[in-house]
Amino acid sequence: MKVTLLYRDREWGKENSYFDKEEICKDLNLHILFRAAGSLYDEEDGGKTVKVGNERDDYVSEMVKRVMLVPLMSPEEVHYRQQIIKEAVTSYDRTAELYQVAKKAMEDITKFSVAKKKQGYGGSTDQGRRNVANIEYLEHMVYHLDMVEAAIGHWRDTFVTEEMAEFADNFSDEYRPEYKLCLGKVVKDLRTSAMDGIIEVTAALGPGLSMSPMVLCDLREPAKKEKTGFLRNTAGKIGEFYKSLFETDGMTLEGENQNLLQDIGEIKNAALGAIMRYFEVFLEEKENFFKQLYAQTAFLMGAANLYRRIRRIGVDVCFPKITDRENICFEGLVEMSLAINSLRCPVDNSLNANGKYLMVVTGANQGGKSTYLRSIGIAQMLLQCGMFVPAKSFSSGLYRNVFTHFTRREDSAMNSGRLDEELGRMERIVDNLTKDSILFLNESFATTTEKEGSVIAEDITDALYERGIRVMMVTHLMAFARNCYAKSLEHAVFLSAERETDGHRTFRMVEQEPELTSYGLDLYEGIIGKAKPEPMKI
Amino acid sequence: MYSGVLERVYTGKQEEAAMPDFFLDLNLNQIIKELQEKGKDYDIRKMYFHFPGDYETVCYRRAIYGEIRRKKLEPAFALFSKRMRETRWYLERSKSVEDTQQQRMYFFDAVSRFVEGVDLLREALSETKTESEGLFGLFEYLNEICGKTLWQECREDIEKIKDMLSGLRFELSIDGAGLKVRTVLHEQYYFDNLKKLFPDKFSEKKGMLGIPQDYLIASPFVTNEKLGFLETEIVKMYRKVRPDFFNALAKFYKHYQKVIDTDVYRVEEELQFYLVFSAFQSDMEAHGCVFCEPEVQVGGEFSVRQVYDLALARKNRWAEKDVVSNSVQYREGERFFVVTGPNQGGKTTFARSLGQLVYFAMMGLTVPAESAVLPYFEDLLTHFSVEESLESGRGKLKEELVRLAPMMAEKPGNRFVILNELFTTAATYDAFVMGQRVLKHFTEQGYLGVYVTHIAELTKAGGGVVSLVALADENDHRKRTFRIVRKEAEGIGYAGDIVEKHRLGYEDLCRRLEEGGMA
Repeated sequence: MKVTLLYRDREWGKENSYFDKEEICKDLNLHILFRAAGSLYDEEDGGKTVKVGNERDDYVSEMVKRVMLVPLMSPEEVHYRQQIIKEAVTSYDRTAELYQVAKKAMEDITKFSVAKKKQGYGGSTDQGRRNVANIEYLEHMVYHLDMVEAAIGHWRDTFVTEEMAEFADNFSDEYRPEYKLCLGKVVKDLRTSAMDGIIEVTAALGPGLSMSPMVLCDLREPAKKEKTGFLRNTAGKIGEFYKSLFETDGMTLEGENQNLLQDIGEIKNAALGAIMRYFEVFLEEKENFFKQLYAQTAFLMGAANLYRRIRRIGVDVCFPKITDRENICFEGLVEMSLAINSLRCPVDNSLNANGKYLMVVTGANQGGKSTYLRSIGIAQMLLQCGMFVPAKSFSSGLYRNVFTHFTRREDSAMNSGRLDEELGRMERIVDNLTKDSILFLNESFATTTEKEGSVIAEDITDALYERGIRVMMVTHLMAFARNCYAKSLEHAVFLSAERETDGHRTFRMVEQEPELTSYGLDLYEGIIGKAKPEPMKI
Repeated sequence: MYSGVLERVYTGKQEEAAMPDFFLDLNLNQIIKELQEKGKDYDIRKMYFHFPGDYETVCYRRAIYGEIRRKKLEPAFALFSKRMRETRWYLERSKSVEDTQQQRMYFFDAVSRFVEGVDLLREALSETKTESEGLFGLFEYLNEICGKTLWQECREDIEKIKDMLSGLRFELSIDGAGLKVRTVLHEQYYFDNLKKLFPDKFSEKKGMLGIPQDYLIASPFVTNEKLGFLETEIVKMYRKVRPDFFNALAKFYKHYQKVIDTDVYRVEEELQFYLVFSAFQSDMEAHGCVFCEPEVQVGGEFSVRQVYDLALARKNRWAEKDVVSNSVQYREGERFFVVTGPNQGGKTTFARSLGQLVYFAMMGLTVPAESAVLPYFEDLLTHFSVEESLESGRGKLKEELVRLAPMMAEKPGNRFVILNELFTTAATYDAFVMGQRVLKHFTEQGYLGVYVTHIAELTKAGGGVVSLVALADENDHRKRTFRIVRKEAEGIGYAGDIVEKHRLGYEDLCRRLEEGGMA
């Protein structure tokens, strides 16, 4: 029984995640997404978002994080994931139901494994207790399987994708009626015989007249009438009195004997133990099944939560298209973590940079450059895990590696130690860079003078450009940007923050030649200039 | 008396064999340890400690081993061995239990296993039409055993008793704490249900009485020394209703005391010599190692292609590290290879690989090489310097000479000698002079050998001495190729070189990482 809600051909396992994924999360503010994915919100409350209770599901956040930090490797993989996510966001309640079933099953599994450890069964004398405990566990697992079957059954009528229908069919094929019937019978028989049912085995004389291996013939309910005269024993306890009867070719033996009782117990335990050994594998498989189901539906739950969340804010959402790695093109893209944080739909941007693998963004401070870069970065990460993207349309390639190199505010002081650290980070990236990587650079090399920084930036971007590696960068290094522009690189695009003639910012990026100033002066004017009196005219 | 499969004429020498002196030097102990693990029920070591020193034995064994490998006789031999072990186990039980009926039954179990085992081995050999002298001898020996009237009667009686036994089946019906025993059974398998649930967990294999093997549940009393209460009651019951069975058992016990011939145990043990090596060879072949049947002739030539250190290959087998192999040949009149070259260049490994080649060839087994032709050697002498010795230079030199003395005192003959870094603590000139004398002595004795040294001048000692060199890389003299080639000695290996190599190795690594980043 495989859970294939994340990949068509395999379960969630040891996947290769991005190199230095924590860096990516920090630089792209992904933790806001993860947290939002794990928060359950009610749909209807006069258009306002209201938390239901205080419900935060950290496991959902964790799984969204883990899955999102593993890139999908082919357009087919992305398509499959997208289809399943489509299903999850379309039927929020069904996703929630299946997730809750898996969650309850996992809680049970944890409970039993803790109990098992605590009681520390071992040695043959514990065999009976172990059998009883395992039979109970088995009953619980069968119950949870039935719940999964029900949840899938409820959902089945409203499936919108073939992929999800296929998953449901695969489950029903394995958990088919004949199988269920047989499973139900054996579990019931086990329960009966572990208590005081009838167990029949056959054996022969083996080596040295000892008993040969046995064959189990039947397990069944005790015949009611035989109760008279017997003091019955339950699994763990053996009564003080009992009566045994040997019926052989007309011969009858009677006796009361502790040794015989012990022999009986051992035969019973051996028989039940032999059955349980088959179920040990079964239980292990089901444990894995529920573990997988829990993990995979947690991710879907997170996707459904996120979808609800940003739709309510009014953000447009689409499933992105996969293209060649040379291309990137989008319309109405917003920065998702900003949208979630501000509860408003932020300024959107559009770009058609097909065939351009170097993007250089320059321009006004506080002009939205970093947000812009981040919006692309987040969208790329979402695309690569099969998620929807906060845009009207979005198409881009698939990259095995995503690297981010952001200068953080606290880093920006000029300091040789900082440059050392910054270049150290860069070196680590270069060491691990492959042709199918995408690199986001935000205000890199800002920890030295503009002149030095420009030289470093030029060396690095030249080397990467020559090898066709996609670089998306925001820079304030104007000398570098202008030099770069002057080379008229075929595969480069230069953007800067739009600035209306009156100096007003739109926070939109437009394609234009990098200018010499970052309009810091505008800002200066905006904040300080207005307050100053007009200079005296002579 | 049957001579066995290890020797044409049984000498019993292997019984008291101690570890030969060359074992540790050649790292053979590592290989033998694994062989012993593969044959954990037997004393494998003593068979490998015994160096036969007899040309006939080499041929005798090689023919046997070759035939076993070619005809894949291992499974039959292994099953025979298992039956013999069971025989001994039941026999022991038969002696240790007090109950007379049990004694007789265990005795029956032991004899039936023995007869089955011997018949089985005989059949396996009869089917293949043995070619080797040793296996043919074994076949004849078994024929002799199986041909006796007593044996045939015994075989028939075993079948009769087995038939009776299959009728002695009973049903236990546990009802709560109560129990009924019936001799009328309903044939019904509850495990049919499990097979429906877990079809891939059940094989088609049949076990006892034709019942599917996987349906059988081991008796919970199987580990008990004595019969338990229930078992005793069941036996009592059968004694009343089936006295015929117990009479047959008593008769069997009386009649067939002489059936088990403990000489067969020796055959079983000796077969392990081949079984463990065959298993080991197959393991190593699965890891890409090559073995070949050597051609051994008295006074013949010595020429080997791609010989490698089997102990090293064994150690590296999971590491996917290639073990270097070498091809060498003693040409007309050549008696000693003097191997020089840089430290860590593969000289010692090469010497070891030749030693192992000679050892396994003389044991009558296959050798770690692509092809090998070599003369028969009656003995193998090795002298490796003991490293890390805290003794002073003079003390160590003395210790070396003390170990060397008995080797120098051996008679002339067909011996193979490996000398590794002799006299390293002596002054170079002294070491040169002593080395020259040692070489001269051994060549005069008619021995063949290898002398690993850092004294290049020894290669010019003459008298059948050939210079081999551990080759460095053409482009980078610090890099070792671990290849040994026929070449004029160039000088000595500097210890400092290793350090430098390692430092450079690190730099190389750094560079490679930088270069490899874009791969």
